[in-house]
Amino acid sequence: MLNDCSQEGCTVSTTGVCLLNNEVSQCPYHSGQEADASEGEELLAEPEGNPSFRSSTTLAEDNLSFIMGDRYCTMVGIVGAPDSGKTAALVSLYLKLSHGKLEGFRYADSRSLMALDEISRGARRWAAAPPEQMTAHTELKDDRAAGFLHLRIRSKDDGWPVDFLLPDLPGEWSEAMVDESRHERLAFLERADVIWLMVDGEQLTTPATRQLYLHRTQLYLQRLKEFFPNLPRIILVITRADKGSISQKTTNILLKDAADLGLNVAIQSIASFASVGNPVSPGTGIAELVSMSIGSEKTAYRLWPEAEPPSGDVRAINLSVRGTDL
Amino acid sequence: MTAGHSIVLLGGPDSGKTNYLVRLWRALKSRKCALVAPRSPTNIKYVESLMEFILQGEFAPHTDVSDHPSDQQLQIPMVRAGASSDDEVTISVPDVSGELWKGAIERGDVAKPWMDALKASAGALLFVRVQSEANVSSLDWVNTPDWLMHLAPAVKADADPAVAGAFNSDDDAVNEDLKVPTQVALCELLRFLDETLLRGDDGLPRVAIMITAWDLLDEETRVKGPEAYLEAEYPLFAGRLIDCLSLDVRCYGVSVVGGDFKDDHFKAEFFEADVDEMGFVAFDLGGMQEEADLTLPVAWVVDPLFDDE
Repeated sequence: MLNDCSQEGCTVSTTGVCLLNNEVSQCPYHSGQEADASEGEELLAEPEGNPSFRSSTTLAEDNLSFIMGDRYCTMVGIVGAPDSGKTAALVSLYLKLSHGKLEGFRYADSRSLMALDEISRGARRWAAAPPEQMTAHTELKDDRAAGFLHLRIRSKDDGWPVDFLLPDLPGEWSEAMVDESRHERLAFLERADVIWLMVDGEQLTTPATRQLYLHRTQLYLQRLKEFFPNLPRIILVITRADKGSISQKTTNILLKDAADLGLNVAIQSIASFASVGNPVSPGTGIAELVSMSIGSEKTAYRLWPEAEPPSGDVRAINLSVRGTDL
Repeated sequence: MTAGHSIVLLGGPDSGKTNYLVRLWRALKSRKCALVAPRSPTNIKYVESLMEFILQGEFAPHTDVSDHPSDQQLQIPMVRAGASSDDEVTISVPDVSGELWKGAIERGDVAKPWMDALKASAGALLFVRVQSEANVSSLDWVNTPDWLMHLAPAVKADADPAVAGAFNSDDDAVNEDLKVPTQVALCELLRFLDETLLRGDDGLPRVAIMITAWDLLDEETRVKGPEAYLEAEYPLFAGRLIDCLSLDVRCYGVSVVGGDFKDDHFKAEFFEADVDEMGFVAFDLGGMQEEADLTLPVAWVVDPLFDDE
């Protein structure tokens, strides 16, 4: 606790904030010294809270080491504009596991299970002004924290576990990277094993918006390469596949663009949810996206050898055009 | 004689903890089971007050939220059947309100006396009740499509107008209704145990998963066993159990009296029967077994404690 300030009206001793916005140690009205508790009035002890269990909420970047120290974690870098379907994909993955319906995999553990569940229930949402930095928790109980979600799944075939670290970040961070070159907050992308670039497929299939969204997707690829030269492989995740399939022409444009940039890009369409009566099942493509994301780049090369984009009309659902491997 | 050990009972509201505790007391007293009470505990007021309900054909009411573990507990000396009283261990089993654990899951903390009780426990029984109205299902696309639409605006636009209207008119009201799913709560309670239970040099702390009201399940489900039941009903929790290598876990199907008091026919049968022969535990140890010995889950959990003495 700081000494009282001689400047009238200054509450630095209780709030720690100088009335004149000076550094306390530099302020001419303040000694900069801490008060001697023994000389001051009797201090009230802070109320003792309940002892806590280990957190089960979103993990800040600084807190990842205690998980990654235990075992190898596959870090996924999730990038995409607001409303591109990032949250929906995470929730769809979580709910498929909750019902034992993620094809080929089962749930094993999560160090952020409550965060996953709260996001799926809509119990936590981005505040009107989304967070600017990653934090382990937010002060407000309903606010969503920017950070990582941990998820361990096991293969149903051989029981082999895979640990994922999935960033849960506001889309504004991605937009700020593209439009304002604010890329520092996404520096972890270079350490990621794979990047999911989320693109709203409905906008890519709607004639009036196709050109704009194609342009923005190309811009995203360019900016990613510009800011993070050592990018891992990228999966272009085309969301809202229940609303339609992107054309082969669109696919070819995107893949050619990625190839020109020297990027290793695959495409996977997903339908995180689907309206009632839609022939596309909710959760379509999620298991394939997970399968494609497992393993390091070298493993991925071996698993998914270079493939030419298929010719002719191809339905986007389950379309996985594998690495251009440049 | 020993200084005593404790085990802890965890579970959400209406998960069957209290009814099992009362029935356990009766089983220990019967001297017919794997565990025997060589003498009566000093204070049996709490369990006897609840025994009245069961013996008169009613399940015990919900446990009050208590400030301290010692307020509502069974502290009982036990020996293994056939062993001398020199091998006695005293087990304290605090009966904890499910509401207390529900709050702990939502907040991630618990009052210090209860945290201390967990840290002093050598093992645990973790409860979930078949068909309890307090159970909460995970969201799915069939039962709660309206709520999931908040994540997919494009889907919402196509929704049934009544559903979309409810969603748009009062977001927070819908949100309030959505509780922590039972399987998530079970995963969190298992995590609490994993973090806190006493760890000695010999083996891992033991946790018995108690699936109560097992008698309510149909025959086909029962023969598949408790693990298969969890896999079908609670895939997250079943997966977590397989992944958990830091606790020794076994699953039991439990029926404290062998039937449902809401069934008048069963109730009449119960009144005429030998209470000590009513009820059973089901478990899979290289094949499904059903045993009338209600002490078996506790006997397994506390078994290493006898060897400690």
